[in-house]
Amino acid sequence: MAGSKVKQDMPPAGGYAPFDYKRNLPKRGLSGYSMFGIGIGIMVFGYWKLFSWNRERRRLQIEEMEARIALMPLMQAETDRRILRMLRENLEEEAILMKDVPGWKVGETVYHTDRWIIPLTEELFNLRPRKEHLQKRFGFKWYV
Amino acid sequence: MPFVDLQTRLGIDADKWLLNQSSLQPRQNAARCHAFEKDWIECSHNIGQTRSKKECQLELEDFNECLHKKKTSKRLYAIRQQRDKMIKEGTYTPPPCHSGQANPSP
Repeated sequence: MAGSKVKQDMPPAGGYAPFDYKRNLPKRGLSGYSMFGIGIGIMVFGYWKLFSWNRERRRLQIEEMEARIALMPLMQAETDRRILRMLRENLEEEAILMKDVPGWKVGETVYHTDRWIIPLTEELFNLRPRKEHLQKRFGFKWYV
Repeated sequence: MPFVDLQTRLGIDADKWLLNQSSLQPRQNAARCHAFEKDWIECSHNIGQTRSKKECQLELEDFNECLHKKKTSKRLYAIRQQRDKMIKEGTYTPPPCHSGQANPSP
């Protein structure tokens, strides 16, 4: 109805502002090549750090090993003295214990040779409390 | 094949490495009874089994003893039994070094 004075919802004066209706996909960000470059660069940096720290760790490991090697004679001497002391104590106790047993030769070796044979832990800890024997055999474990 | 030592002829080591304890071990770690086994093998080498059983009996006994420790265990057991018997009778008290005073310093 032309010419009616009804209040209607009309666009503002001057029309609406212009807006994008066409397709708009802007190029932005880094290119693919540079992203690869950054990734590879970070990896190369990481590898370099890794290898140099591994070299440092190897140097530290060598130092620890050399300390162990330097201490080895002392450790071996202590172990040997301990073993000999325990064998001596066992021998004396055996002499006391088996005095009245007929046909028993104290300290006889079961082998036919007189070579030094490394004693077993059973031999060393034979007369000691069982707890010590178990602790010697199973106290130290490589696994956790 | 018995008289043809094929592996030595060919210079290879197909299974010799696993036949004896006394053969070359990884990292040259000697076996526990290496010496006894070496003695026995050297004694009984090249003389055949019948002769070896007669002549190398001591070495074989020592080797078996090292492997199984039967005589050693028997001896230790006898000593332990005697000690327990004497403790029960009251004629023996273990000395301090054998009673758990833990100071095995060298």
